[in-house]
Amino acid sequence: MGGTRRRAWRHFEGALFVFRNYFLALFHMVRVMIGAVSVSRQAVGRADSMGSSVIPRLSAGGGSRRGRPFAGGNGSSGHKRERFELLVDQLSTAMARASVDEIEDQINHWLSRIVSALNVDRGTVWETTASKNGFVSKYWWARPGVPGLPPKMLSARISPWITEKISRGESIAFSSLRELPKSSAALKQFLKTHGPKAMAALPLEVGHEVIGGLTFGKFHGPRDWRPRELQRLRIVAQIFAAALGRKQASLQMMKIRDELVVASRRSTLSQLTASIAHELNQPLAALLSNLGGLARLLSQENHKPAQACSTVRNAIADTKRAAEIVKRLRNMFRAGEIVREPLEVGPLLREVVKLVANESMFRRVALRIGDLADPLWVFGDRIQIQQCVLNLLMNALDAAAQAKTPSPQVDVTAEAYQSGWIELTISDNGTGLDSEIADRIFEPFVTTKTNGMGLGLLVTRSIVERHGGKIWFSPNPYGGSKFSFTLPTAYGMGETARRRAPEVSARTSDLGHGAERRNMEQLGDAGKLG
Amino acid sequence: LPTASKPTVIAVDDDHSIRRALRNQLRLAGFNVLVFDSGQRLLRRKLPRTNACLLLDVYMPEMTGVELYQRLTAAGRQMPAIMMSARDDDETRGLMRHAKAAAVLFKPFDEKTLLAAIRKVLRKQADGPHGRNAPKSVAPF
Repeated sequence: MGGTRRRAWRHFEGALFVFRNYFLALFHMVRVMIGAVSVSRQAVGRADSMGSSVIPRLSAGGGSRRGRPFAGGNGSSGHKRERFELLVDQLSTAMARASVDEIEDQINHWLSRIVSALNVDRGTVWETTASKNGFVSKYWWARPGVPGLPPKMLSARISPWITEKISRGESIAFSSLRELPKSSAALKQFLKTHGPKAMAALPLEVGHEVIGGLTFGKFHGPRDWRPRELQRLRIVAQIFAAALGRKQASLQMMKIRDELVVASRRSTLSQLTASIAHELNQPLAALLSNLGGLARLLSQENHKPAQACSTVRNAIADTKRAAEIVKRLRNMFRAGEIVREPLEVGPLLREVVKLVANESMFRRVALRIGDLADPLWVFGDRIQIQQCVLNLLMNALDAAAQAKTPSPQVDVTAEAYQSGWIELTISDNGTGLDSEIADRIFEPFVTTKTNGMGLGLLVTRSIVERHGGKIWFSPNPYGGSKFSFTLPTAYGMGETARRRAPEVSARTSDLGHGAERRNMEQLGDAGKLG
Repeated sequence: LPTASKPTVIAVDDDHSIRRALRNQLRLAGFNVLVFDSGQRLLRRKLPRTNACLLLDVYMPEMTGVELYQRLTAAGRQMPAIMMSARDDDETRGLMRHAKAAAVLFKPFDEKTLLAAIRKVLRKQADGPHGRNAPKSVAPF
């Protein structure tokens, strides 16, 4: 009893951990969205409030003293400012419209446009490193002839001073190397030979967290940064930060979804510990018994080389069997990359059935796998698909065993569904589901088990849907439940897959499209003649 | 030793390689060995009544070792039984206890353990009320 409770608690703890991460990611995502909205409002407000009193003072002070081009409010720079403002508006719209997958391309595209509009030479987006000790170059765009950046260049190696400032959420702009503080002599030396001679560096912030940096450099000669221009760049940084934050949150979400899938797989594995131990102990027992006999054969001085030899051969077979079990388990439960490939349904199902064969024997449930007359091929990730079958099988075993029917039984079948789809069905003759539960059975935390978390079906559905398929429940006509899901057919796998499509169309046309069916048959005949 | 005096071990296991290994091992250890892949097959056969014991796997698909033992007992074919299983948990131990097995073994077991269990069970049988070593008559006073 205690063991069961402890096990249930461990499951609960594991699931709790996964869900904590899940909600943290959700929270992060919401924060990013709120951040993006409020940030752009603030930015616009701040830009407007800068007003005329601030800008002339700064630009006059900086510009007239040094007398650089672009300084001051002459006509041409006013025109440029307008163009840049327009660009920022377009950028804002484009980024808001971009899907998560498009963000990377959009950033690269807009970096080039902003660099051109600012009349600088290189623009770089930096990302905070995992260890938060600075930034690495992530995206950059440079004019022809201007050096790029090696991938994953550490910002702290170029300048710890700038890195630290940006990490604190401060911006830096210098018009020439002369403006750099005395303490950064090394940086000055480096920039003199390799780097930009004028630079603006801004933090990329989501909420109050610095997730990266944005830098623009002018390599040939000095360049003044007007406050209004820096203000616009701050907005650019905020737009970039919101987009990158969105991308990061989405990646994190995907990672957590994958973790949930793996956690669910591990939880199933822990439920199968007893039957896995049982399965492994069988060949080990045979091995030990064979070796015991062999020791006797060799010590009794009744030399029977033939018998000794066959005993050794049996022992080898037992060892291989044990190794095979371990290999199968590793294959089934490894948490690796998701690989989509053509898979033959028969062997795929048989492997899962083998895994739960002992479990069904312990529970006295007859487990049957339907005849697969033709080889059926699906396209997907083997481990994930097997996980779906395993989840549904374990549920079915539970239901059948609990029902206390005289002959509890679970059936696994696979058949062509509609053109391009294969349907897998796991049915049991257990107690079935109340209609009220049946409607919500794929939602989280909905379960009929006393020791379940109600995550198995949620994970199963998410896997099926990521494969493009669908999953549904129907009552088993013979009592109990029936869970079915579809997977895409892997075309081009043998002749069967290609032949199957018209066959299935013919079957669906039984429902009243007689003419269509005749056409199909004619087509088939024509095919034969040809 | 004359064959007739050799004790018989009747082993039932649904796993082919275990049947094969046990048969060889126990024959080499000096026993008569009968193996069956299911309880049904055993029930159809005539078995020695004395100087013999059962070695029964608990989990088998059609009929468990426990059920088989109960069927034999119900049919008046009492014989000491060793229950064995590759699954060692409370549930299995409970089943074995409930079946009143004379000895229990958990796979994988070594030869020493196996032979010790068989000898213990055979000795018990011999000393029991119907055994070879049982007193022929009981003194009334």
